[in-house]
Amino acid sequence: MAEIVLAPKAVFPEAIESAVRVAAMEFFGTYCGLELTELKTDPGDAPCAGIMGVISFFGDPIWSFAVVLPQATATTVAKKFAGFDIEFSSPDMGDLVGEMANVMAGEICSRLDARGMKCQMSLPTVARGHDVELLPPLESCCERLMFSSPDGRFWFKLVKAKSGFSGIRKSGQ
Amino acid sequence: MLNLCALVIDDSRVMRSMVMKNLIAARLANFTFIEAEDGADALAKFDPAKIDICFVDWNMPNMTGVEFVRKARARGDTGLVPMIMVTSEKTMSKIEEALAEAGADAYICKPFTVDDLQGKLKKLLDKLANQLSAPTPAEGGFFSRLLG
Repeated sequence: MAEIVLAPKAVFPEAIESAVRVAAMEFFGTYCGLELTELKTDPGDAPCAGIMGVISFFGDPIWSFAVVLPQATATTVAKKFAGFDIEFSSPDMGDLVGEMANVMAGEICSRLDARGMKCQMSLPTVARGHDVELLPPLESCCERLMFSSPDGRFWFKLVKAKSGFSGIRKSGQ
Repeated sequence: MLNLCALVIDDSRVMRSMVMKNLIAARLANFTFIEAEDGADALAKFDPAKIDICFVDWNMPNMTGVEFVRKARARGDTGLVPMIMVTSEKTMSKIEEALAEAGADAYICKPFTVDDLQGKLKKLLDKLANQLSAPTPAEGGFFSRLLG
């Protein structure tokens, strides 16, 4: 009988994971007044309405992160960050979540730069919907960092492109 | 207190509101605001005879904030108008590019607090007040506008 050997699961770069973790703690702690606890296991919450801010980083490696906030968390965090009420369904909520992702991305870039990992960050993209998720392409490596706060749970999805990916789509790719 | 017309440039409407709200709370001047949603929009609205100070985001579509600063400075008549970068870009190379190459006067990293604004802007606005109140005939209009 043929033996099937599975390739070992790719590990997300520790430096990036650490930069995201610290940037999240600093942003939500300092500017939203939230005490965060990182959850080591997925609590398996039921899918719900949420909003997601995505930023890509172009350097070596090329990778993206999505910060995903369920509706209830988004509404309370938005008020704490902006200082005024923002309705979940309003365009301003998208604007704010994009800005939050942008601010954390700046912190992440700075921390990676200090470790010799230069990168350029993209403008933010925001998606709102039910059970929103950043889906990694095949052969990419991904990681999920989940946090609990007094205002609810939220998480980051990190996706790294496979080695050799330039970030530019060519014919046939 | 100084009366200043500030051009607030950011592609995020919420962030423009936050900048304006915090500037009012910092009580460094009596601000009136003109908003622009990217560098190109800002360049179209930028009139050194009306605008006293600019608050400029970096990453924006159409034209970045640092390109706006370069182009505004290239006009040659904007020496008195302070350009304050307000951005999430915080690597040393970006800070140097804005301050040393493009011609920005100060650099504020997002997110910021009212205290951050006061700390970064106090000296700059004192200097601006001295420059604008210098008694030259050509600046008589400026002087009376600033005193309100």
